[in-house]
Amino acid sequence: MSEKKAKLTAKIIIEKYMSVVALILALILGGIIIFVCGYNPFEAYASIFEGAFIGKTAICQTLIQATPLIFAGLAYVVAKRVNLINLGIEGQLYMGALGASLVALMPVSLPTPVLIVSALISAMLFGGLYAGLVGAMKVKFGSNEVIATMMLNTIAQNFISYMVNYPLKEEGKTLAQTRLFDETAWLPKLVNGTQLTIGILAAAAVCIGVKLIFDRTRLGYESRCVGLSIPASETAGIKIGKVMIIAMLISGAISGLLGGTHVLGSDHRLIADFSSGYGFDGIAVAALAGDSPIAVILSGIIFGALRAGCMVLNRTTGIPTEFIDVIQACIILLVAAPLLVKDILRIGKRRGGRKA
Amino acid sequence: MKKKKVTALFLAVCVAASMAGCGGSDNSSTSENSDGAVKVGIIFGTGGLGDKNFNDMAYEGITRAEEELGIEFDYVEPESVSDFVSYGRQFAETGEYDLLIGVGQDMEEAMVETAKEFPDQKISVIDSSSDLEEISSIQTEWSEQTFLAGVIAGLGTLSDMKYANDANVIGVILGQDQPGLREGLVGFSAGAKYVNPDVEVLEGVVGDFGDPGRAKEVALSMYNKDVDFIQCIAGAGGLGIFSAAKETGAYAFGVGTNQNSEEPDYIPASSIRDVSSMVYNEVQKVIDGTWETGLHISGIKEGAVDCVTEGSNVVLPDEIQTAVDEIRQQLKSGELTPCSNADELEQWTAENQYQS
Amino acid sequence: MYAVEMKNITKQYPLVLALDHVDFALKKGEIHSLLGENGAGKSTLMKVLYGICRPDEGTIIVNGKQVDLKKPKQAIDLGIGMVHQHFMLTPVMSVTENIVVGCEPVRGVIFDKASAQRQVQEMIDRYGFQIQADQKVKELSVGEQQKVEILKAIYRNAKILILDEPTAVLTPQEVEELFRILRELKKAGTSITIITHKLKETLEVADTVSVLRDGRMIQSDISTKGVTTEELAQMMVGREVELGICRKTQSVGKVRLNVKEITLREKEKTVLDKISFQLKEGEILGIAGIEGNGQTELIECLTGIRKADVSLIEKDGEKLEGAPGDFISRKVGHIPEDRMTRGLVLELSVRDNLILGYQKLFQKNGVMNRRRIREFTENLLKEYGIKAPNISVKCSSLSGGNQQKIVIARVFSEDPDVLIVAQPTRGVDIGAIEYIHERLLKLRDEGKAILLISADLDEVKNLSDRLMVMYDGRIVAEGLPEQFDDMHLGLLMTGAAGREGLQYE
Repeated sequence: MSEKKAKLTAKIIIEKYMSVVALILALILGGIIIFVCGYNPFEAYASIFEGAFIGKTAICQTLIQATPLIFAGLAYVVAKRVNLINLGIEGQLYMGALGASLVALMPVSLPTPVLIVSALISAMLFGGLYAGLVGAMKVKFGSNEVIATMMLNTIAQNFISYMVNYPLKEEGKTLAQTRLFDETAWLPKLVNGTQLTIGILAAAAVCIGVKLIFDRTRLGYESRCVGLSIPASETAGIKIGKVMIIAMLISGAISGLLGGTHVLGSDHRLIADFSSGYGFDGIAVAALAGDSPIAVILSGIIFGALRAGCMVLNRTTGIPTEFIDVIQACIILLVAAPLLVKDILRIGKRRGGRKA
Repeated sequence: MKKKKVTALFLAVCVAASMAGCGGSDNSSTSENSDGAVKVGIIFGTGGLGDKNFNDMAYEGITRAEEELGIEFDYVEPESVSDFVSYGRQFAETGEYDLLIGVGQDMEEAMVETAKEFPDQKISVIDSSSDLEEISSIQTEWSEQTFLAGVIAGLGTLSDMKYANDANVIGVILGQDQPGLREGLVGFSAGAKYVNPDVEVLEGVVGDFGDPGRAKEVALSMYNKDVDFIQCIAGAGGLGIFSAAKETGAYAFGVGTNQNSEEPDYIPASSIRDVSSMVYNEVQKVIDGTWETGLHISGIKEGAVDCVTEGSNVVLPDEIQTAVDEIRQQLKSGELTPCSNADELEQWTAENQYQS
Repeated sequence: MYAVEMKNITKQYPLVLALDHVDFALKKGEIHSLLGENGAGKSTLMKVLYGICRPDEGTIIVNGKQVDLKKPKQAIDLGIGMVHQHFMLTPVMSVTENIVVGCEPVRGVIFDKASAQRQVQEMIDRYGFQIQADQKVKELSVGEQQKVEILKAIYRNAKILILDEPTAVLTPQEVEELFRILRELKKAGTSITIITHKLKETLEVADTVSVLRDGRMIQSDISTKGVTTEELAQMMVGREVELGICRKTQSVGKVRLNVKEITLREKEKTVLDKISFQLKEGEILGIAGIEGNGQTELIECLTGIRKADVSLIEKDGEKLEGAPGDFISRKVGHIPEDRMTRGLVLELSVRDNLILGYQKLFQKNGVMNRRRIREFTENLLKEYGIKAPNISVKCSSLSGGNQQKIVIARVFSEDPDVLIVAQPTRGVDIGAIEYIHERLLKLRDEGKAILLISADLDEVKNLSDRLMVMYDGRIVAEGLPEQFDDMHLGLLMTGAAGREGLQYE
């Protein structure tokens, strides 16, 4: 009986910590792939670990990389709460970046806090409305949000490209970018000599904020109901359309914050095609976080660490940075396919059992 | 169960195979810095290796330096422009690198920031045209790049070459109206007028570097005005211009890399810029101890730009070929300096005439 | 001689012990009723026998041979057939195709449709069914679909037949018909197990009864001769139960809900045809009828989920319209017919489900008052005897009866004037049924107006003060419950009798 109980607890633990199991398996799988490609996986992981955690600069680099990932993961989680798939984070973050840039480029001098807060509010508005549009289309015309958000990504990216090539282009320069923002519009740095800004604090704060909305408010309650059962929500008199649109607005506003904090904190100007696909990385972050807003912080930092580690890996061993994308894909696959994970574990166990 | 195992294995192999495919670029420079060898760090643009363009050409230069000069190098491929500073800092922090090269104009700001923080680190930025005290900016002379093509056009339009007509008109098409490109335009005009003072040079602007369709329209309308030679300075738009040349039965000059093979019967020559030697020369300078900050514009003399006819089926009349070779010598020896300013062109033409 | 022997079967789910060392034996050629409340483990036991889930412990012996069942295919090969509560048929395919799927007769590699059709038609004729082999399943009534399921099992040479709650969806006539078939099959040597919680039927058709409670076998192999429903009920629940309450209303008051001419057309078909009635204070108005005759649509129109083409609903003389939220705030309570999809958000906690629909009352400026919610829900849990480990567990982990109690507790506790109650005891154990019926009667006595829609004839007849029969989107009869006998009701429900002249008052 006690053996059975142990087996049962093991089962529950695996189910509860699915994400951790998936992460570990993904890293092992990644190691195998590194090995197949002709590199030493142990050396590679040691190098990643060093680049991510050893020393002040490394830790800062991890947090720098984590900042956009946390925002993106959270944006995905918020939409997922009402069972919408927001694949448009990429487009929304571009719009948010534009919103922040427009404020930062205004030819008026404002004190730093006022300027930054208004730039970020503008970023949230731009991103939020851009996503809200999809929500409204979904509710009013029943359009598929996955396709709509994807399409709007391209439009946003090209629109920003146009803006920095023509109306907002820095005069007399050839690059597709705006002029450098005045220093008053730069996000204050957390650690001097690094690019780490208060953006990471904002990201964590927004996660906590979303957690509170989820847990403590009527909106959070109703969006959970809508996400889990539309017929039951309808019966309970919840205005499903309204809840969906609000969730998309919030999701888009968070994406907008990603873009806003990025241009104000990292590039200090709006550059065409500045995002390396943060919007899509958000899906992996959310998957690993199991769609929990607080776990997104941790999950974002883990991915940030991998990224920071890979930057060093890229330099010292020549393993391409794309390796990160492989691990990311493995994690999504494994988290999305819990049965596969269970099977892998079972294969391992059975093999062990037979030998014994 | 067995079936599932096979599926899992198959998946893993697929992932591994795709990895091996894209991660194949080998990096042979991971070894420890052996005493004495010069070590170079190179940061590629976001296009990354495999772009068949700027980054690949720079890579060619650094590998040539590795073979011929016995240096060692490490490289990184940033995913986002926002990572430039982080990479710059990571390289500089180690203190191991004698030279740090940033590939691309958009690297300039990040490299300056790095240089300010690490004043002892030598940093060069390829394709930057700013004269800065922190870094070495490597630029090529546009007017020297197109001058020889101008000579061919100026003589060719008067000659009995297959597609040359009676009118004494040639043209230049710019991708966008930018100061650098204008210098190329002036250089081409100066080359033509050096050998043919009465030639008329038309100019056209596409307004886009990536639109062959529009470039073709501009070229067709130009050929309709009796132009028989066009110098493209229009990026990917060049392909449209070549196709217009083929349709009309006229000549066009390639730019950047050797494009002669695109339409070998209609492209007599390309005005090339050799990025690989820009990189190579910087490394050479560090070894020689002649490296210094500031703006360094290289031209024909340094072998950074030239006009090449390899790969073209167009046979230049002997007198044109002779003239080109002689004028190249004049440029290399410093006897002749091309005009790069449109306002001075008239006076320059009056003062400089080719005497065969 | 036993067809099936199951010994010492134990099955542990993550949170519950579904089967606790259960022994079960099915003799050859008997009809054996497996009796128990919902969640007692009867379905799990049969799923183990059919190879759908594997036990943690125990042995299974079929026809004298010990077997290790890993999947239904093995069970089918052993001659075990199962008719599920929710039919596994493809509506757009023909009866033949549904029956032979998986073991089609072939000529070479091509499906031999003609011979399949012939075989199936022979079987249909042998049992005297009124269906055609080439009919599409979607054209069949529920009872006929069940026959297709039975034929499917027989076609696969099932010598051991398991039926999961077979009578839940049938009219009295169809139940009679089913029992006739079962007896015939028994005569032909088939061993049959019926999972049910209906006592009367057990006594009518079964030879032997086994009773499960909380995953344990309470009584096995009792002969149905000389056992009363009361005794069986006591075994199931573990205490004495009062069956078949029949207390009529004392005082009927003013009209609370006045429904005029609800008409709904969908895809050129009239789904609801001028339905009018008045619902008064202190009465239960029952609507009997076979499912799919417009009840669902009527409920949806009466709760704001659906907008009828023509409709006028008045509550206390004022027009009632809008979204479900408006109906709820006008104090029209709704117990949905399908608690799994409409009544509960199964993946949410008990706490969250106990305020579903009334969340507006527990917030201030959009912020939920968590302390009040906790106090409120903990009280409800106690008051309604909902068996849940705590208020944070997911509803999906509770038994059907407890789930239904949650729906009922939250609606009743908000003190509605009018109650639309649909299938309140479907899939609910006998103890909970008794409780829910008591509650409904108590509310009626407090002066609430209750509309009761149920497919369970006994339920509507026993509880209602007034009864309407619905067929094909129309009210075909109305009267006092005692004015209808079962057979007559069955005819009305199937449209076999014309419009009934019976009128109340």
